[in-house]
Amino acid sequence: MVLKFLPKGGKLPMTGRIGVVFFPAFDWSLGEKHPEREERLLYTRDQLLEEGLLDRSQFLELSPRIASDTDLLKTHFFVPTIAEQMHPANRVAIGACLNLADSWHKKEIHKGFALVRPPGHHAMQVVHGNRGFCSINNVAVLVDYLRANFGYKRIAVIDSDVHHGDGTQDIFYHDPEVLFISFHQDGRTIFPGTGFAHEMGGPKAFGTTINIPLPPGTGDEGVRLITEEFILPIIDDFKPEIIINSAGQDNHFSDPLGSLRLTSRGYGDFTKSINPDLVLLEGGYAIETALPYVNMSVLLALASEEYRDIKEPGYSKALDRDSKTVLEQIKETLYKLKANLKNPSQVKSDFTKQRGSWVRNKNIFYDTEYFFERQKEVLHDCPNCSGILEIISEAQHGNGKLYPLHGFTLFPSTCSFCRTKAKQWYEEKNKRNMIPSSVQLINKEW
Amino acid sequence: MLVGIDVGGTNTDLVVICEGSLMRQVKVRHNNNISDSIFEAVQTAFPLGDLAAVSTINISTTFITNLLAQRNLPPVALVQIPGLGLPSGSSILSAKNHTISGAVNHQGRILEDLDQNELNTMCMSLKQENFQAIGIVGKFSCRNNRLELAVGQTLKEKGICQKIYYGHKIAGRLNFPRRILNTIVHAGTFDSYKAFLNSVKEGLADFGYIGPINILNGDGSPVAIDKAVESPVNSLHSGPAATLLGAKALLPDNTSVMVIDVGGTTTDIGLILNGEPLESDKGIPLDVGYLQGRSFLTYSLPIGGNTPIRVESSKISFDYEASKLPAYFGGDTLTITDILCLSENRGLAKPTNLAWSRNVLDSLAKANQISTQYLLDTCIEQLLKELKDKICALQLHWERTPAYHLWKLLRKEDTIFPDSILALGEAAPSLVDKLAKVLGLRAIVPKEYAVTNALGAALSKPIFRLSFRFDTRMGTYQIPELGEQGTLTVSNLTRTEALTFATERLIALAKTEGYSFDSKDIEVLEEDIFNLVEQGVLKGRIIQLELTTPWSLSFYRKEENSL
Repeated sequence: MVLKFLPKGGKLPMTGRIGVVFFPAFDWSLGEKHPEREERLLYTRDQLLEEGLLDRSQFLELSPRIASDTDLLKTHFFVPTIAEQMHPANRVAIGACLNLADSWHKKEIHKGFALVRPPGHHAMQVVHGNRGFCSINNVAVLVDYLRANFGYKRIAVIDSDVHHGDGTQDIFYHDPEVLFISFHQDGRTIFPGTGFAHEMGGPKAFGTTINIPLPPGTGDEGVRLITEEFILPIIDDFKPEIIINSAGQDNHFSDPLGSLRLTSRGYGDFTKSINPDLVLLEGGYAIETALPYVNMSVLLALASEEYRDIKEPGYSKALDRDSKTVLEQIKETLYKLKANLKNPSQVKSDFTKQRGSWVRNKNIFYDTEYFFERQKEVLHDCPNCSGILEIISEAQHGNGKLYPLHGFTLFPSTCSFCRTKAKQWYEEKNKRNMIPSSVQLINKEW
Repeated sequence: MLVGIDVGGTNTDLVVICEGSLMRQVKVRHNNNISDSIFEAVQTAFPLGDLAAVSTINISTTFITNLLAQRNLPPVALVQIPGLGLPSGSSILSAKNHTISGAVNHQGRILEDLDQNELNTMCMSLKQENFQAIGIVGKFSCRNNRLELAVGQTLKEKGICQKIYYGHKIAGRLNFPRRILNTIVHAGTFDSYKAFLNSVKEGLADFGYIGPINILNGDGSPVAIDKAVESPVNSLHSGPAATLLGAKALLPDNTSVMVIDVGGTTTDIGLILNGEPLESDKGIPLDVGYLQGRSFLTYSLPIGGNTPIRVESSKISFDYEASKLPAYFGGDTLTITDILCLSENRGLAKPTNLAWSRNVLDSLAKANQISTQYLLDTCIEQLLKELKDKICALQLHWERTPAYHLWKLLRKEDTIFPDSILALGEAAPSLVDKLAKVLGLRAIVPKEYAVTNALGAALSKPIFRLSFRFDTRMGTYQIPELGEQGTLTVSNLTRTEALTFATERLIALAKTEGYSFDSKDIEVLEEDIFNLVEQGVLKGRIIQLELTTPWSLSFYRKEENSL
């Protein structure tokens, strides 16, 4: 009996390659026992390598790069300076996303997955330090990069981490061209304690921030329900040019920090349903029992390959169904959200109108470094555009010193009149400023 | 006196190096019998049989490549244990695939044992199928080989099959699909390879040579012929390795250059960065998948000196599948060699041979009613375009090579892509100037251009490289290249202790091959330490090390090849 090889030149059919940047940062951590330590993606590496997944012709593994200051300063105010808040590992995580964006835009890849650490979705527009393991908001920088470099106008970010993506929400809260949807474990039960149904966007961007708090115990069935009944219709209505999934994997049934119950199959189903163009890893700390399997499922779902027969440890059929109580609570939340969208005036607002501007005050807790930031947001209204966002912030850092910031943000949709006005304010403020870099301007343009 | 032999697709080259100088070089066209071509080359180089002064013969051979390309291997059955994750690995080359239960995880913990009933049923099936060889491959068997060994034990007890091959022994690094492919290829080529190596040894003994014979591996390290038999797969891609070693020997230290080797049937392109050939991040590529193992990053074009030019209805193309004797060498076909010789401007081509090429060129042009100049120019343009595309693809591959550590990414960012080409192969002088002009690079053709591969083989010296993984939580260690797994005797192994153990093992390995090293010779290529934390408590650590003996080539007096 003689064995024949495959015919020469025979290839697997391809619908389009999936770009993958894997950057586990094996030589960086936030602390030797910190969840963001070198070990975090070690077993994911082991599993992906052992499965030989990235050998398959459907996947194209790319390299990360080091993001420049220019890339980062389009999104954040760094206090006191970017150098003091950035570690090279952060720049590489972002650089991975940007490399994927370049390849995706050039159509070298059909979709992309940045499997990187550290995560970013808790980093807000003003960065006084690290919070929720995040120093810089990977997905937000990616969104602003796509808009500034390639002119994409309408972008949807779906945050599926177990924790509310408060940083991403903060950055795009007043930006009507970015749809931000976050589903997460109810903020009354988990960090960061926000992400409630009434948080639906700033006064000029109502309905472009959507929060879906989920009761502890929600699993695949509950996520399928919110996806089909609520998320997909909203995306459909918004008509984004790009869909990005901020994909935290701490929704998994084995995650130590969360109380949701997703399986790797559920992640695959979700990915397949929303059909994102780019996916970024956020949180996820069940590093042996969840990440290796969930990441495989996401990769295979992106490649339209079979993922439902992945065998993961601890799985049981009971995980396929959610309890009646959980499903009813979810339905109630969806009902409220739909009602809010229909009746914006009924929705509780944190803003007060003061002399032609919308104002709110915030206290932001930096849990990694244990201090508070006090912030005042002033959205200067304009009948023709989304306005000018002015931020007055101060925080006493861990070294005991007080660091102020006065920032101005211009959105891509801000009109030329407002841009001129804002730049004048910025220059005047800067002239009188005694503290270097404490007056900053973010000028977002397409 | 060193002898290097390189068996290529068309020719077998042999060089003799004496006290760092090239003393003799021989090229024989081979008839597809590799052993015969080796003996013919040796006989031509040593007509008087004076091999007494030869201290080493290093051979780079395409034996395994040819065997695989012939598309038939003895049938091998595969027993795979895919465990958790994806439900099965590939069974692409096996004659029969059996998938059984059992699971080992990344720690090496057995999460699910073998099912005895299932095993018994499989054994009955295998007994009837009566395969000569069976491969047993489990997912994560490189961390814990117990399930593989248990299956093998059962097969032996039931008298099923004499030849059992274990995945963890043959391919001990991570990658289950590759482990399967390595095992099947190993099982399917082992006997033939052993017979071939024995014939080479006996044949050379007939010439009066009984000294060391080494087979060059794809990672550039020559292995003693008696040891080489243990790993047929490692000899794959030794040709490009020989080329890059030869190129390294000809260049000043720390040079960065692109190496282009125009052979008879293929053109291979590789990189030397800061004096070192660039290793492939993809293991060993085959047309059916990747194998575990080390090779250098090479991009190949199916075009060489013997590639015929085809003209059909004024459309000019290259016949990639064919290989013909060039008109320049007395054949009757117009080939790439003819085109390059007719268009080269270094005055190196022989007038008589050029006349033969021109005859065939004129005939072909006339028969297709096109001008000879048009035919010549179009061929050159097409060749340069294909080379340029391949070089760009290589550069893109290099730029995209993943980095999982900050320090590796930063080092990569500091590395500059070469701005020079080193051209090798018989057609090198004719090609390099044109190619360099098109690419905007500098060109070098060393005087040894026709035999650089054999030179690289001759000058190669063994490198010993091992990786180690210590897991203090599990109390185990693994040495993937040796397929070795063991228990740690200390409970809280420190980095220093791990390094000492690893260094001593590497030195001991080299010693068994007859090479002596001191601990200060040993270089640490990679080192990772992972704290293993469960619920905020440090439970142990994983220490990963990769060590190597120093890499050097035998002494060679190189000319000042200007860059």
